Amino acid sequence: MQAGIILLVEDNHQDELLILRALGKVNLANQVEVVRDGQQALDYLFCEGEFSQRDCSKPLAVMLLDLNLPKVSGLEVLGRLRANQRTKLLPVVILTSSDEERDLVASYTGGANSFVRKPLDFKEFAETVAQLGIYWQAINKSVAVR
Amino acid sequence: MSMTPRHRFILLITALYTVMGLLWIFFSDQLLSSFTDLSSMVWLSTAKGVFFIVASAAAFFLAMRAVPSDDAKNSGQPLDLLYAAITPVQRQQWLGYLFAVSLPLLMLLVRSAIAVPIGDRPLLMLFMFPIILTAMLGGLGPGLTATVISALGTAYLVVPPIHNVKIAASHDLIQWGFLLVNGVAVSFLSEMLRRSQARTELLNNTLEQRVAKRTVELDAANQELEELNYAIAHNLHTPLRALSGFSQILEEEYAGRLDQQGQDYLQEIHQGAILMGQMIEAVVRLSRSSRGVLKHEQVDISALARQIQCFYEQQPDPRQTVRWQIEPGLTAWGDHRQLKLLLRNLLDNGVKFTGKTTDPVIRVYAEANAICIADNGAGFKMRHSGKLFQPFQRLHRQDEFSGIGMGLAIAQRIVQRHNGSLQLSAEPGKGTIACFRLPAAPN
Repeated sequence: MQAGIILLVEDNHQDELLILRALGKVNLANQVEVVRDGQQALDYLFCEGEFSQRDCSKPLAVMLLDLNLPKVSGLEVLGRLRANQRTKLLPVVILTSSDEERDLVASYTGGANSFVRKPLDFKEFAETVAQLGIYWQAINKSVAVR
Repeated sequence: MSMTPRHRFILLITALYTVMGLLWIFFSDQLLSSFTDLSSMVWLSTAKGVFFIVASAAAFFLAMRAVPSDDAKNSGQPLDLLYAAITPVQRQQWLGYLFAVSLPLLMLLVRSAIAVPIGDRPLLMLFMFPIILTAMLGGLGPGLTATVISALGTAYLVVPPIHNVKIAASHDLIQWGFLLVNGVAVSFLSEMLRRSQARTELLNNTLEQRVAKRTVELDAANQELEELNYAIAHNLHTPLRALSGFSQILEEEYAGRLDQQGQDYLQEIHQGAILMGQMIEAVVRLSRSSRGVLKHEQVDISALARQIQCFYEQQPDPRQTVRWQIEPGLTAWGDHRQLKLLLRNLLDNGVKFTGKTTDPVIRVYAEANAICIADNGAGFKMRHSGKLFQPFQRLHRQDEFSGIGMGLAIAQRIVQRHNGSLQLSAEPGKGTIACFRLPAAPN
């Protein structure tokens, strides 16, 4: 069985590096695709724009989505992909610094599968990200979304 | 015992009526005595009686309309009330001019009536009375009219030569000139007074509205500031994570290439990042304690305190052997979550500052409508207590007791949001007592 891709939507370069390193520690780094704003995320998912040439046959395991993104916000990305027939079942994990009640409610209302607050402490952060990667990529079974 | 506004008003009106009535009888009878034939005296006497009845009826009407109700909370002076009752009438200009004409003429009559006892001296000061009264009631126009009528009338009828507007004696001319100048001055002054009074009235009427509007604006601004506070604290998370993260990665992967000093420096960066993290968390907690809507209910403070006690007793800290003495049945009216946070912050301090005490005791009890949390810990000097409630202010060094100085700031905000008060007293080496007092539940 082909392991799915982890799609990371993260606009902060340093968080991206830290997340990639944490995933690298559990040998998942080569399964990760990174996009850096909401528009890129949508283009990637729908194989449009700069991603119109990408290999759209590889399945996606999970999308790690930040809420606070340039151009198109995380919640809007979530809304658009849930409205699309092809991507509506894609597992989405909100990975954010926010611990606002309203963000939590809005995320689950919008159809997020999980909501994880980025821990402030780096060790905790690295552990959390590694666990997320392992769970969604190797343990969890989801409907293939290509 | 102080009188109610109603009593004060009734007393004043009765006194005024008595004085006015007596004055009227005295002056009108004096006037009457200047007539010698009986028939006109009788006729005039009847007219004067009718006038008195009509005038007092009008006065009664106005006065009774202004009587404040028994339970009136209005602390206004009786004269203000009377003024307010007459106001709608007084605003009519024609009434002012009626006064302007009739009062000086009346005074001319009075002057001629008392001409016998005072002799030929003009006594022009008398005419200031109708001028002042008219100016006060009618403002500038009626005041000036009364001044002109008084000046012409006295020049013609009072100041010799009589029945001639000429004024012969220079001292009479000076007196007459003073009357004119004073009259004009009084008219202008009362006009100014009336205008400022009208302005005050207008301001008073709109005051409540403006206060409400400003309060809404202030609340909005405050809310915005809190949001900003929160956003700043939040957005600092990401760069801070980079700081601590990459310094830890350096430590993990490149420690072998750094000498001891290099590793120490790295450790300092890491420590700094940890402290900054705690501070940011504290600011988030502080701003959270001042946001959101309060849901008031009866809160069992004793139960909350016991919950916190349980939390501490489950902590794997062998050093702490705190004896807790929590008075049962303590309650307060407020938001459950916020009061728990308040109690948590105060009890945290108790646990922290008894850290070096042998046989530490923390007491939670009620005293004079307040709920107090007392410990027998390190305490502090009261003269250092000024900044206690400000964020990041501490009375102990990090190496004495660690912390960042946010607990009491949060506690204070919570108490203030509940319209209560928080007081601390302490003695070095003896301990600290924190007492908070919240308003009771509305009936």
